[in-house]
Amino acid sequence: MKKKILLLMGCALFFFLPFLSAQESAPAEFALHDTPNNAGEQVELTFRPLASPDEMPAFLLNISIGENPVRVRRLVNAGKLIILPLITRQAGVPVTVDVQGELPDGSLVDLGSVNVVSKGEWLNMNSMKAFILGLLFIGLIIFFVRGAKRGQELFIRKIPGLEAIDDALGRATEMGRPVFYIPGTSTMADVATLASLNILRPVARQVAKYETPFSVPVKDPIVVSVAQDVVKEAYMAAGRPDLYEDGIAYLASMGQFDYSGAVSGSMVREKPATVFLLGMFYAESLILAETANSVGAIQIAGTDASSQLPFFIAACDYTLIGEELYAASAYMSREPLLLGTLKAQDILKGILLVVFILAIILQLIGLDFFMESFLNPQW
Amino acid sequence: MGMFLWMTIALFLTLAVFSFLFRDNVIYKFAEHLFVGTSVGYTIFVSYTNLFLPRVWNPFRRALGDGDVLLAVWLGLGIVVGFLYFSRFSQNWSWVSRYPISITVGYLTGYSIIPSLKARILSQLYGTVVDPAGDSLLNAEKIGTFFKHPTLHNFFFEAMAGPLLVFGVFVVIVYFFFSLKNNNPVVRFSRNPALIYLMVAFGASFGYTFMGRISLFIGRMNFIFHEWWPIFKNMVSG
Amino acid sequence: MMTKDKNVWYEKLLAIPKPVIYIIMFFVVALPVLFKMQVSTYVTDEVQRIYDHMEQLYQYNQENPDNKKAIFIAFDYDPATMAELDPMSFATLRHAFLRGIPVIAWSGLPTGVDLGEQDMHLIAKDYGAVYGKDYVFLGYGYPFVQAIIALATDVKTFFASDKAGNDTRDLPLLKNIYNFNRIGLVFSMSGTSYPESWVTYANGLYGKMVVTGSTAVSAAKYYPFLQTNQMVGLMGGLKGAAEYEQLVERLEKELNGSDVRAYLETLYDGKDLSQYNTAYYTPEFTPEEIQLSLARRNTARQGMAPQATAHFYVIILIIIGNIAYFARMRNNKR
Repeated sequence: MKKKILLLMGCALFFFLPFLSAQESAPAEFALHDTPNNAGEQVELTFRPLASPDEMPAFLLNISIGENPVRVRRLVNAGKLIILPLITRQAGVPVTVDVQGELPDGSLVDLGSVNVVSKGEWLNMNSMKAFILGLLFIGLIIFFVRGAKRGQELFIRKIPGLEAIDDALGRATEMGRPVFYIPGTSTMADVATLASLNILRPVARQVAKYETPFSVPVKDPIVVSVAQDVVKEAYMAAGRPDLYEDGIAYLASMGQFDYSGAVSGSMVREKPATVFLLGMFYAESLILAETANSVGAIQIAGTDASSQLPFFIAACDYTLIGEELYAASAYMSREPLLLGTLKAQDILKGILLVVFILAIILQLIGLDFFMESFLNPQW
Repeated sequence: MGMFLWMTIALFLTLAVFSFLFRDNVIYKFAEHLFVGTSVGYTIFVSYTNLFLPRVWNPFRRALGDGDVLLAVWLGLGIVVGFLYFSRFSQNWSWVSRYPISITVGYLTGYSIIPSLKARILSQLYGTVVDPAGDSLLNAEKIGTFFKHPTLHNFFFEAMAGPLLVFGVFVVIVYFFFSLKNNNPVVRFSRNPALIYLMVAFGASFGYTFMGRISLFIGRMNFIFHEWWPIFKNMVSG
Repeated sequence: MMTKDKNVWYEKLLAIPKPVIYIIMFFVVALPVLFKMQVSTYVTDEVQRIYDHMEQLYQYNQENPDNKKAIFIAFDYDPATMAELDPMSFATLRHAFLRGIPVIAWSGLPTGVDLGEQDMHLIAKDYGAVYGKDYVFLGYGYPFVQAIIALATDVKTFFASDKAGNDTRDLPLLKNIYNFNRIGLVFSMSGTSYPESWVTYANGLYGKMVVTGSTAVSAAKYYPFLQTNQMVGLMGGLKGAAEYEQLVERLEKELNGSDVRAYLETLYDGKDLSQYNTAYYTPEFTPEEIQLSLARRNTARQGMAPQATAHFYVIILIIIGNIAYFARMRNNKR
C-alpha cells in the first residue's frame, strides 16, 4: 500500500512539477529565421510580446548583422505580432539579435538571444507555378510551330469580319471607287502593325485581281517601305505587276493629327467604297472612321487598343476585336509562325479553362485543394 | 511680367490647337510642329542629363578614376553595345543593330514572362474562383442573403455578381477560342452572351474615355479662366 | 434607293453641323468653370480604400517611430494628361505630408520628370516638408524593369544622385528607407500602361500594395486588378481625384483648422528657416501663391460641375440622334 502511495506521489510530482516551478511565462516569444525564396538578402525576426504593456512597455533589440556595428531598435509593446525584416544583402551573413525587455522603471532585463545565418535559395518557389505554366506554353509553341512548318494542317475558324472582305472589295470594284487600307498609326515594333501588314498582302492580291484602285496611306517611314514591298509582292503574285505603282503605299504625314487630316482629305476627295482600318490606333481613330462613314464607305476595322475599340464598334461596319486581329492575320497569311503561336495560345486557353471549371466545381463542393494547387499564384 | 508672357504664349497655343475643330489651318500646323519639335528636343535633353550622364558616363569615368577595372569594362561594353543601335542609320551596317536589339528584347522578355504569367493569368483566374476575402464567387450563402433580404442591391452585388463574373469570363474566353468550328455548339451558345459582355465593357470604357477627354478640356478652361485671366486682370487694372 | 428629303425633321437633326455641336459643348463646359459651379461628390469604395490604407500607414508609423514606412509615387505621366493626374498627385502628397508619411518618388517618362519634381515642391511648401528628410525626388526611373529591381534591393545603386544632383547616400531619408521593405504603398499615377507593370512586378514579384491613379481613358481596364486585390485602390480620372481631394480636405480641416488661408500665412512663422533649401522652394508665401495654393486644393472638384453638364449634354445628343435615326429607319421601311 505504502509503495502504491509513494508511486502515485512520484507520478503527480513528475506531471505537476513543471507547473509548480514555472513561476511566470516568458514576456515575449521571438525567433529568427531566414526569409525563404530569395538570394539570402534577408532574414526575418518574428516577435510576439506576451507581457502586457503595463508590465513591459517596450523591448530593445540589439541587432548585429555581419560585421556591421550593433544597431539598437526599440519596439513599443503594442501586444501584436511583429515581423521585422533584417537586410543582409547577401547569403552567408550571420545575424544575432539580443532581446532585452524594458520595465516600467526604465531598467532592462535580458530575455535571451537568437541567431541565424542568411541562406540563398536556387529557386523562388513563389514563382514555380508560373514557371511551369511558362514552360508548358513555350513547349506548346515549339510543338505547333514545328508542326506548321512541316505542313501540318492547323485549323482556325473563320473570323466573322473576314467574310465581309470579299464582299467589300467586290462592292468597290462594282462602284469603280478605290479601296483604302490604313495599317494603323504605330511603328513596326507594334504587334498590331505586323498583323495588319499580314492582312494587307491577301487584300492587295484581291485588289490587284479585281483591278480596283488601291491606296495605302501610312504614318511611319519604316512601315511605308514594308507596306510598299508587301503590296508589290501581292501584285506580282496576282499576276498584275503592270498595275503596281510606288505611290500606292505612301507616307501621308508623320504627325498624328496631320496624318488623320491628310487621310480624311483624301477620303473626301476620292470617296473610297471600302476602308480598312487595321492596326494600332490612338485618338485619331474616330476621326478616320467618321470621315469614312460620311463618304459612304464600308469599313472593316480591327485593333487591339481597348480604348479605341468602342469608337470602331460604334462607327464601323465590321470590327475585329483584339485577338481576332491576330487570328485574322494568321488565317489570311497562313504563316507557320503565326499559325503555330495562335494554336498554342488556344490550347493553353483550353487547358486553363478546363482547370478553371474543375476548380469552380470542386470549390462548390468544398474541395479547394485543386484551386490552391493549380491556380493560387503562391506556392 | 515674364510669367504672364509665358502664360499668354500657352493660351495662344491652346487656342491654335482648338482652331483645328473648324478646319486645318496654318496656325494649327505651327502649334503642332512646335509641340512635336519641343517634346522631341526635351526628351533628348532629359535622356542625356538624367539617363546617360548619371547612369552611364559618370559611373564609367568614376570607375576609371578609382581604378575599378572590372566595373569600367562592364560599363564600357554596355556603352559600345548601346551605340551599336546607331548603325541603323547606315544601309550597309544596319544588321549590326540586331545585336543590341536582341540583347534588350531577350532580357526584357525573359524577365517579364514569369511575373506576367503570375499577375495576368494565375492571379486573375484565381480571382475568378475566389474573391480576396477567400469566399467562392459562386456562393450559395450570398444567394441566400438575397432571399432573406430581397433588395436590388443584394440581388446585384450579393447574389448575381459572382455568377455573372464567372459566366462572363467563361463565355468571353470561348469567344476568343479559334480552334473550334463556328457551328460548334459551345461556340454558338457563347457568342451572343460574350458579345453582350464585350459591348457592356466597351460601353463603360467609352463613357470613361469621354470623361477623360472632357477632363483635359476642363483643364485648359481652368488654365484660361482661373490662371491666365486673373493675372491679366491684375496687370490691366495695375 | 430612297433619296433623302433633307427638309424632314429627322434629317435636319442628323445633319446638325459639327461646329455648332462643338460651340455648344464649349459653352456647356466653360460656363460652369467660369461661374465656379460646385457639385457634391460621393466617395466610391476604391478611393476610400486608398484613404484607409494611408491612415493605416500613419498608424503604423505612430507605433513604430524608428521604423517608419514611406509611400512611393511614380509620376508616370506627362503634361498631356496633367489635367486629370495632377489633382490626384496633389491630394496624395497632401495626405502624406499631413500625416508625416515620408515620400519617395520618380517619374517613368522624360517629360514627366520636371512635372513630378515641381508637384512635390509645390505641395511640400504647403506643409513645411523638408527635402531630403520628408521627401525625395529621384529623377527619371528608366529603364523600368531595372529601376524596379533596384527598388527591391537598394534604390541608391540605381540613383547615385537624385534629380537635384545630391548624392543619394547623403540624404537622411534614404539612409533608412531605400527599398520595398520600408515602402508601405506604391502609387502609380499614369495615363499609359505603367500601372499594369507596377502590378506585374511590384505586386506580383515583391508583394507590395499598389495604388493606381489613372486617366479615365485607361481606368476601366484596371478594375480586374482591383477585384483580385492586386491593386488596393484606384483613382479613375478627374472623378477619382475629386473624391480623394474631398477626403483629404476633411482631414486637413480637422488637423489644421478650417481657415486654410490663415494656416498658410502663419505656416513659417517661428520656424528655423535655415533647414529649407531655397533651391527647392522659398519658405514664405506671396498673396498670389496663397491664392493658387487654395485653388489647387479644389481643382478636381471644380471640374465635376462641367463634367456633369457635358455628360448631360452628350446624353441629350445621343437621345436626339437615336430618335432621329429610328425615325429615318421607320420612314425608309415605309
